[in-house]
Amino acid sequence: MLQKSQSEINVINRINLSIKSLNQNQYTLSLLKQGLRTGRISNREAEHFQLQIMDILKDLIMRYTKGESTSVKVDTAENIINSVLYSIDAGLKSQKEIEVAIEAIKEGLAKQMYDTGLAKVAACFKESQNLYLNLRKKRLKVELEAYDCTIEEALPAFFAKYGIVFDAHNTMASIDYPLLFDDMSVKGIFYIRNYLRTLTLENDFCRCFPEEEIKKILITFGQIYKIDYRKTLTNIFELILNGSFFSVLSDGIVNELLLSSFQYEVLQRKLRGISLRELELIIDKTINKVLIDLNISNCNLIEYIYRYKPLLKTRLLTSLEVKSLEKLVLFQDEMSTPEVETIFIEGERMTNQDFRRVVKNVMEAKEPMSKIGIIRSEIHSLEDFIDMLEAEALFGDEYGLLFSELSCLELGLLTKVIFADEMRDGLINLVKIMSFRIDADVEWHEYFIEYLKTIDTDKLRTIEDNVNEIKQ
Amino acid sequence: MLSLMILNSINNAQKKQSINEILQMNVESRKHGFELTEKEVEQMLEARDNCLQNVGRLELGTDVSKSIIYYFSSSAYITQQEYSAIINELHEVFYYMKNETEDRIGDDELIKIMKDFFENACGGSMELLKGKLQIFAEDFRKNNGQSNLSIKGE
Repeated sequence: MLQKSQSEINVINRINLSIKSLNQNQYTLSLLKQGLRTGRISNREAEHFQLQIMDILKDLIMRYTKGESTSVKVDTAENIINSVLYSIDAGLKSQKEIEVAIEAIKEGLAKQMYDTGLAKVAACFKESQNLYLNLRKKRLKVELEAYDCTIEEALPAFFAKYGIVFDAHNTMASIDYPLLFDDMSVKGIFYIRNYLRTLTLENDFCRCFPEEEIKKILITFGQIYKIDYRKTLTNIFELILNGSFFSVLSDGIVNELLLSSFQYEVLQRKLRGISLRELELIIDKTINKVLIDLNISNCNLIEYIYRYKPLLKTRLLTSLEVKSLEKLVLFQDEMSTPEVETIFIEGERMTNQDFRRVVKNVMEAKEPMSKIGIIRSEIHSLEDFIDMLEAEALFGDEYGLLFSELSCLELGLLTKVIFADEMRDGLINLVKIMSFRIDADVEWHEYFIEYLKTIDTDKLRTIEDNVNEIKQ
Repeated sequence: MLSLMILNSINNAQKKQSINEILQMNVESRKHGFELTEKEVEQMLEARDNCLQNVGRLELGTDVSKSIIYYFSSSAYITQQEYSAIINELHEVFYYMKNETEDRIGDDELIKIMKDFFENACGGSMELLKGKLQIFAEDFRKNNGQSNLSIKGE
């Protein structure tokens, strides 16, 4: 067998030690491990580097206890060491190349890497604070609890608690407001900065629209899905981007986010029998027009909007496939929403094998609307529908979304299942029952009751009538 | 937890250095007629590490051990025969008390309190010392309000 030359081995080692093989959240430890594995770092060099880390930790424990104690509880020590490693990670990552980072370990520059990283963490913290102050000044005036709490409570609490030295790695904040694209793999202050940068971009886009229009689209969204929009984890940017996209696509004005019946007809006409290639082109053209009409020139925002394209394409394709385009758009008048068709009345029960296939498909579907589409097209009996609800294939808001698809008769059938005990004594008074606190043992019962509580009294009375008629 | 495991292994690598540091304390303790052999120091560090693990604490270095030796080697109640065993037991009491007083008493101050009780109120009895310190810790927590750690870093 031919012996490999030293230079060949070096090349192989370099290839093996690629940035992709390193754990970005434990960069230093990962680099040490990989370096040892590939022989780039000797045991002695690794031990020396780790001893230096321990010296930093010793100093910090003394600082933490204000020089009073040399020992701390294990969880405190773990927190401090993670904070130290977070800063060293930042220092090593800031080196131009992975090779330079390895040299820093070999040469025992732990303190230098720590100081460099700590400076980066401090700068990132300062930048995040400034981003937050700007964001707060320009925040949207919307009544969305998650948005409001994140900006007014969670982020200020984070800035008040965050410690550059002892808590660098922590993201101790209850940030509930969801971004359209959120990189959760990043931790600590670097995550907060990313979050704030992205939220600022989303906000900048939303601020191109009149406040009244944003309010209108949120209210309509809540009405259509029969939920209190203020309590939902809705991403405003996505809602508005969708609205403006479909408005432009249906020859409407970019900042009028709700569609008229006429626009919906235009939309249907444009998308009828469209090929995949044509769909791609039409999406590109429409996004481009949205950007021009709103006079958006911020490259980061343009790039962010284009990241939404694949998602939009998938949703459009699915809705065209399951013929539920109306579920993708929001209408000016809630009444314009096309009448819902019944899903499970009078249909036949499917075989166990078919049912398992449908459950699998629902579980694998990423979008709530796709899940609803599958259920709508495959489930046709009450028994199968209830089995589906009990199959744990739906999560959180998806239940409400599915219930909002049902007719009053179907809602009545489900009500009868849940309130069978109450109905033994006679007719049911659903409006009265809904005014009480009801505890449910079954998950879907809980979501169903929650849904019933959001719908208006008139509709509740209709369901009640249906339930009582079914009894007779 | 990975980071802590690494720390423990580094601590082991530093064992030799720790033993030497504690052996140097013999210079001071010999003035009072006490001495620890290398084997005894090794056993002491082992017992200390077990005790730290039991009480869920991390100690880097030998400062506490050196302080315990420094203060207690002048005790009127300890004999060379039991010296090593008592020093080991004092480590256990010390780390237990660090937790019981919620880290609110500095290392040196706590060792001085222990020494004072041991020499005066307890007449050199380890059992009495443990009981006395337990009462002290309860009173201390009562008077200082529980779970309101004053030790807070940046």
